[in-house]
This record gives sequence, structure tokens and C-alpha cells, in this order.
Amino acid sequence: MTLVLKNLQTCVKLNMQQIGKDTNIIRRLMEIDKVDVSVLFVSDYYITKLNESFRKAEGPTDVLAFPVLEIAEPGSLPSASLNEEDNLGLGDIFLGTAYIQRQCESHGDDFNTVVMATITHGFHHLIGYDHETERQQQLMVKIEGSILESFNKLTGYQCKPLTVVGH
Amino acid sequence: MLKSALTTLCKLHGRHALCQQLRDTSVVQRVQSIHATSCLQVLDKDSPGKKSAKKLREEESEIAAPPDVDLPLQDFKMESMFPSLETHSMLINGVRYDELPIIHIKATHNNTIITVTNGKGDPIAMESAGTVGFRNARKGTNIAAQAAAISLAEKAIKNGVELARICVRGIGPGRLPAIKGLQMSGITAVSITDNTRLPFNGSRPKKQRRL
Repeated sequence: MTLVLKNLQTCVKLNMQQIGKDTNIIRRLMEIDKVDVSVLFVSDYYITKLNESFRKAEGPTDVLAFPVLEIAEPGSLPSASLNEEDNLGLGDIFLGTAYIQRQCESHGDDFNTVVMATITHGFHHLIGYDHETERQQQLMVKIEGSILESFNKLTGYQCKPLTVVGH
Repeated sequence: MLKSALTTLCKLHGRHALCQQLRDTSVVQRVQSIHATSCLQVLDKDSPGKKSAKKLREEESEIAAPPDVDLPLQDFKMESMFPSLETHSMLINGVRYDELPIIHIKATHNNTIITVTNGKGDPIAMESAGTVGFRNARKGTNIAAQAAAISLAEKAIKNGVELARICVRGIGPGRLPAIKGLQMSGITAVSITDNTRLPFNGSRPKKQRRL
């Protein structure tokens, strides 16, 4: 139920209130507003550390999603909650804010639009979607596209799903 | 054959990216490197994981190492740091290693959930930051994790758990305070394992240049 939204960096100025509102809309569209997720905006240094220690990949990246649940079938959440006090937790998403902004500048995109698309991408990873093979990627882009389309209608953004095969 | 078995093992551990990187190295080296992703130490400077690993090394040298075998120092360190085939039958205070109870710590930024299970994996007791009385976003703090750990340790000690293996999953702020809380209330950690799942990445392709 709770959305933990934290800005742990000072490099890029963010409108956290607006991001929180938009994130909640995406959660409602994806029907994961009954479970716990967290979105954290971190610095380049921090995301490089995470990338190195958990993925053995060098350099910063735009988003890292740490799922807690092991979901065999993408999109199916386990229905049983733990107990009254605890909700089901999906996991954490780390966003490399400075990296995203650099990408936006070089591509000429709007920063807020890309952030919302990235958050949606991270949420889809948390509920079991992956893009390691061509087929998985097509499915993921399709689902993400439909979510982002209805999100665009509600808010007036022009988000497009992230597209890439492999890791 | 052995290679394919190892590959499946690595996949089970969620480290297949790492496995691909290390395909050329020899089998023994690869196993050691897989265990060597010591994320606990990377993220935390004053890590009690280091201390407990050191303690574990000392304990094992007392228990496991036969006195007449002279191992080279380097090899011995590696073997005592990472589990081997003999680890499962190792005796710790008269109990086999694989029959020791396990404490699972699931730490996210939203909540910290700690569960004690017996050696087979059947749960004995569970406690989380939510059940201790913290609410909403405060569940994810390190203080909440420590409180949950202390109240779980009471339950565990009532059930006769004193030595335990600890498995940590996730990178919440509560992962180290939970271990600290357990140790403070009298549970001795025999081993600490990082069970964090391989994270997903979502990098974007380069946009094609318009001419």
C-alpha cells in the first residue's frame, strides 16, 4: 500500500510531489496499488556501486530493479498477503537520475517523460517481466505500451516504452 | 557435463550473467568467484559481516582443520571463507551444519521481514517491522529492523535456537541492523549469506541520428 519515494541525490532538481502523483497513477493502472513498492532517486556514484557489485557491469545505468518475489508467470501476483500489519512487498527500484538527464540531453527528450517511462519499466520488472529474449521483449513492450497509453491520456505526457533486447 | 551442471547451479543462484563472464576460467576458480560477490562488504563500510566471517574462520580452524595437514595460507583462507562440499557435514557444537536453523532476512526499503526456519526450511517464527508496531514508511527504517530482530530473537531462543545460519535478501536499510540485533540478543551467526536476486536493468538504445 505504501509507496516509498526518496530523493537521495542533489545533482538534479526534482519535483517530488509531481513525480509521486504520477507514480501513483501508474500504480493504479497496473493494479499494484495494494502492495508495497519503493522508488529511489540516487546519484551516479551510488548506482555505479550497485551495478558493479550486483551485476558485475561497469559504469552507471538508468534503472536497477531489485525484485523480492520470485514470479514464474509474468504479471501474476500471489494473492495471499502476509498478515494484517504487513502488505506484500514487491521490491526496490533505483534510478540513476544524472545518467537519465544526460541521456535526455543527448537525445533531446523531456526529462520528466523519460523518468515516468523508466519507473513504469522498473515496475514491470518487479512483477516478473523480463527482456532477455526477443519474445519476452515484445511482450514487455506491448504491456508497457498499453499502460503508458492510458497514462498519457490521463495526464497529457507523451511516454513511450523503453525498448532493448538483452541486458 | 560438470560445466552444464555448474551453469544450472549458477542460474539457480541468480548469477548467470556472472557465469557467462567467467566461462573461460577453470571450474574451481569459477565456483570461488561466484561466492565471492561480497555485496555486504561493498555497500557497508563498518560491516559486521567482515567481523563474523573472521570469527567463523577462527571457529572453523578450531573445529574443522585437522592439525597434521599444513595448508597454504591463501588456500586455507579461501576454503574457510566460502562453503565447500565438506561444509555440510561440518560439526558446530555437535550439530551438523546443514541441520542448523536458518534465519532469513528480507530487507526492502518498505519493510524488513525476518523468519526463523529449521534446517529443512519449515518456519518456526516470523517477525517483521510491521508486527512490532511501526507503520507505513517508518517500517523500512533501520531502527524498525533492529526492533524486529530483537523481538524475533526472543521467540527463537524460546524455541532453542542459539546457533544459526543467516541469509540476507534485498538491499534495504535494515539488512545490517537486523543482523546486529540478532547478535545483540544472543544468537550466534555461524554463516552469513547474501541471497539478493540479480537485479534487472533497463537501458535504452541509442537513438538513430536524423540526417
